Amino acid sequence: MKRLTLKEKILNRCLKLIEEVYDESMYGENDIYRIKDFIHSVDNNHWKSKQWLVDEFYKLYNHTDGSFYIGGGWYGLLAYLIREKWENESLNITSGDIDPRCEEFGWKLFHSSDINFMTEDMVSRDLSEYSTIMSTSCEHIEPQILEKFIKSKSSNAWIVLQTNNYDELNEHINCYPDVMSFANWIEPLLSERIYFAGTLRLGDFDRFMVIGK
Amino acid sequence: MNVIFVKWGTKYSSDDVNALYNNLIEYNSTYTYHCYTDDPTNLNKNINVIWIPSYPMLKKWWNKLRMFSNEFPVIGKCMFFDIDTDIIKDPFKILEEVDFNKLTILNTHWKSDPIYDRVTNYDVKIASGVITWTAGNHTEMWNNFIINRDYFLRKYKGIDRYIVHENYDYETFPDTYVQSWKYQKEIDYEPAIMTYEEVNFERKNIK
Repeated sequence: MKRLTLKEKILNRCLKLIEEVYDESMYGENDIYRIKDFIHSVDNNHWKSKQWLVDEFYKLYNHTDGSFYIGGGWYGLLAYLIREKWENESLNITSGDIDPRCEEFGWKLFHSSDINFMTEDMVSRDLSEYSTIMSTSCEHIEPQILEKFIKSKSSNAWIVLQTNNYDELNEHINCYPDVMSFANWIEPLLSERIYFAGTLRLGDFDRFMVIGK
Repeated sequence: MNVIFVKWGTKYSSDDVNALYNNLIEYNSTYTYHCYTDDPTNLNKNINVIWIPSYPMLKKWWNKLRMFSNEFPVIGKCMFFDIDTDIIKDPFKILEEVDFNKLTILNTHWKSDPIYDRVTNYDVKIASGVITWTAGNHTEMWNNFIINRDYFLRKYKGIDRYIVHENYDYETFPDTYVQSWKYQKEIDYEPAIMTYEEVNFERKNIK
């Protein structure tokens, strides 16, 4: 029998979670929208965007160890893809999200990936201990919070950020028209410089990524 | 009594707010009128401006929920009107019947399609086009929202759905208080207000 690909394995786990949430909605907490949220979190656009981050950052980071902090990590897809790329156990990965159910479901989806899921505000902890801080959720985060996040890293740590130009959604409060305007906003906050700025075209909208120190 | 309007972005203009204000002061000019806004340019000078803060940032109608924050700078009884509301007769007469200890909101009694009761679409049969309450009450609605804001913004299209499906208590105004421009072309009662429910509201065209 053909072995499941990594993606198929995660999507299968996602199906089990969907069943769990549906059952829970019948007899316990009614949070059936969570099903749609799971599906969005592992859809092709999110998968491509996060894989793009992992592939580009892997070339720049050039180490097998360290500690990565992901702010607004949702159910943990980025953390999982990082773990697949950096298989060395001495790389520590923390995925934080303010939504408490992200921690609960993150453990269930990616229980075998050695990811530390936390329920917390991304600027509530000391980030100076991390070799890299990252967030692919910048479109959901106010500029003043993002600025605090960037400034809280140590001077030689990496920062990896993604946003988009999909301004139509109510929860998208920090979109940019193009990658240059996003990079220009980030650059003055860095201790060194920008090492990568790029655009991923995703059909109806573009995703922008900036990597710097 | 505080009468409050919320204007965020460019969908509605200060002229729209001023027009509603002018309609309302025909019925009561002694109340204090406020506009909670990110841009008070050209608002009538008799309307008190309350600035919408830049943090936490909210778009569109979600700023209405911030009226229930502890930090909202108003004291006492409050009555909120959506800007796309037309005043047909005295909208304040109803206040004799309102319990200001409770949150009171419009009943969209014209919504009869069973689709509104489906769990999966989170639709509701209330509308926050007019709300009455006492400032400082119901702050849990804001406090709980802000803890997990992003999820609620994805889950619910607006504050009406948030209020109902997060199980907050509310009362409703009598059905005869309101007419829906979109759904009730003919009625057999005389309402105090007409609600437009996010129809492309162009005050001048409707009048």
